[in-house]
Amino acid sequence: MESLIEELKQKIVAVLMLNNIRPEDIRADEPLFGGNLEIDSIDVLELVMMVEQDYGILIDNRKLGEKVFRTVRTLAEYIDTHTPEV
Amino acid sequence: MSGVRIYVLGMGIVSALGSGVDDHVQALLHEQTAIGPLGLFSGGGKAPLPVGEVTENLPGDKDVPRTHRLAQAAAAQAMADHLSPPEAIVLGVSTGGILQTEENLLAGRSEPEQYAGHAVGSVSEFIARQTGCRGTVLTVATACSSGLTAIWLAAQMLRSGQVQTALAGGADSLCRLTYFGFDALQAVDPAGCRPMDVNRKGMTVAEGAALLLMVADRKKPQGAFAEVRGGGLSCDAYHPAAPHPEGAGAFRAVQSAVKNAGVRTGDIEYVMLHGTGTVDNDQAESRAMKRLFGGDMPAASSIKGSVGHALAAAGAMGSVIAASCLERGYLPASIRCRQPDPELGVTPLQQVENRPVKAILVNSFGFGGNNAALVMSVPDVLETIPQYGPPSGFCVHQSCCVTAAGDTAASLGTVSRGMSCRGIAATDLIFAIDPKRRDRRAGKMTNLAGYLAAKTVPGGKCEQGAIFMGTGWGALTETGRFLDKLFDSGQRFSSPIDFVGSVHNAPAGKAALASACGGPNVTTSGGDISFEQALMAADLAIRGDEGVLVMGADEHHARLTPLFDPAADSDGGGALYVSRGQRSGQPVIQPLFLRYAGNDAGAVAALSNCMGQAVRSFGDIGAVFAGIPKAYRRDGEQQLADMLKRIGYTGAVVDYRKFTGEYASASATATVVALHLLQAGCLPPELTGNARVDLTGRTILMLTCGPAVAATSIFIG
Repeated sequence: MESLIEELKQKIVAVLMLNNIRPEDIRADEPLFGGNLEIDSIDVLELVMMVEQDYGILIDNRKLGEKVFRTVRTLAEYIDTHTPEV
Repeated sequence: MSGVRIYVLGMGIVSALGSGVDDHVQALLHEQTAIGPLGLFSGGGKAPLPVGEVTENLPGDKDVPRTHRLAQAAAAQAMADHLSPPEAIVLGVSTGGILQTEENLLAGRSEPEQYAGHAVGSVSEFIARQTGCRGTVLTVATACSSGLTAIWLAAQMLRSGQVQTALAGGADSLCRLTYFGFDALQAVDPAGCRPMDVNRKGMTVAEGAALLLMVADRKKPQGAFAEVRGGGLSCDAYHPAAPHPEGAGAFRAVQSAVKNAGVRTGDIEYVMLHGTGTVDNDQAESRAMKRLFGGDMPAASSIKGSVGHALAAAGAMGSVIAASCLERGYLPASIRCRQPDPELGVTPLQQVENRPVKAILVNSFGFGGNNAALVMSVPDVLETIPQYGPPSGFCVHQSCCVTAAGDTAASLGTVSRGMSCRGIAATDLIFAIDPKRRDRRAGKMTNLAGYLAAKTVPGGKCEQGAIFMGTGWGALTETGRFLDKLFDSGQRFSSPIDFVGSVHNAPAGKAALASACGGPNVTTSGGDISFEQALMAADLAIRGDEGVLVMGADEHHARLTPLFDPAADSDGGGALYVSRGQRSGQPVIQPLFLRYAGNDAGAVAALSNCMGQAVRSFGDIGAVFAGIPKAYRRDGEQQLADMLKRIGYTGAVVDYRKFTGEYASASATATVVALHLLQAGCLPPELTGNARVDLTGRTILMLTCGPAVAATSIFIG
């Protein structure tokens, strides 16, 4: 789980072009949306696309998105429990 | 002030429902929907989403892009009973020939000729050639509100007496950019759009074209269908894609439309809703309607359940259908809205109503918070609208530019030493000035617009302010990134960030957001006269004393620019913060002339005639700044020589593209440089290649030559 969290932090910084933030600056339990990261609804949709492309998991409604993208940890947990079996 | 009326004399419409007004009226009377699965291109491995796809055979050459041919079909209908070409063409287009560009890129084609129809402005120029129009040609690119904004600007042109006839509307074809882009935003209802329905889940992307032939007259001409009364524009200045939740921007647009149209809200008996079917749009629009009408909400419906959301054509389709309602006495139902959302407080018509109405409000809202509204009526049932006097130009309060040489001071210093600013402007300069204003998601163009706004708008904020921006090619970084990701993933994945950022009006929307400019926000795009179009649009739209930011900017993209604009070797832009009225000692800028010339020598004669008159009114010309795009060098030099001979001018001529370099909006940068030199009172000898020229009390004429010719004067008031 911890390695997935670290991996996600790096992806979030890269995908959202968070130029002034390093992956290690993001805390696993801090709110992603509406917090210090200044992430908005378009960013969340970009992360939805990343999760689908890189992990094969579709998050296709706003309500579920709000739950999954609450923190990096909730995202990692969702990916961990929903990763399709190969 | 005498009164005038703007009559609709011709109409054309092509959508998924069919071709022609009669087809549409019959389909709407029978409550039909034409929404069905995408067939035009592959849905990228997923089941095709429902779209509003035109299935009619389109006129014209198959090599001509689909948007152009949709517009051609609608233009032919609108002009069918009219022999004389329109004096002006104003079209709203959001993606131009990008469907063809996508196919060319997928096939690896690299000849610039194959991308000749890419530009959004190329659609209007194509329609000018088709209809024989040799007048003013404007292209508006404000995303989904483009078509309605275009119609209102044309109406303002008619109302000010600049032209007697105008063909205006909007066109957009389906393309991968919008199909996959809206899907990535989760803004598409997989079951097909259900505007105003409690279970609505999004829009349906569609295509089509709709145009109105309008004429200004004092009495009703034979065959007039309806009147265009007036309209209004605003900007949410809230979010790049989502509407203001309370509909605050939409409200300002409709409020302004009612005032501009000279009607009372009680006169409006039907509202043609924007009604896309997204949760947010329908909520924001309903709130704006409740605020405008209070408890007396008139009948309302959205036709998007029948035709889908044809983006730049949507508001124009709404206007054509509204004109048919006024003429034939019916009101369409909100097809596919099965259970109206009680929370909205606006219940759309569930069935067609056969009854006459006097006046209709048409709504159209777009990305960047760019809102438009138009009021139409039955001919001659309301008072005439006051005709405008001739525009008086704008007083310039502040100006700045960015070039490869650096900021305004560095650029001026370079030019004054007789050196060139040719080259690619450093992104570091744009990003470094105010890091807080940097949009991390945006590429160079949008950040350039933000920089220009920050440097020109006093205090960085102007709540009532308006923004008019000209760009030849828009945000190429985002367009390139979007298509790269889409194609690299086999059309399975795309970027919502880049989709939102790729629209031509994203830079002006960003500038409005950063500067809190809630007034009209219009992006124009017409190749080398994009900035002149922005200035003209400002001149048409602004009648009050609000602050107005007029900009022109373009970014050079290593891969796309050589395909779209192969002569371009530079980028950058310029901005002016202006307002109406003249103040003693302050510079004034006045657009004089803008015309699509094609190969018509008459345009040069007309421009010379116009300049001759203007010169008599504002006096001595101290210098001519001439912009001749490299691609039209030989013909352009001939045009310039012809113009100068006709007005008998033998003084200093600055061939400004030698110091700005080649790019579509170079004239914006040149205008800023000219303004600063005018204020300094002289042209340095290094710039003229001859003697120093005294500019005290004199005028600088900015001229653009090429397929479109334009003239602007700047002088000290």
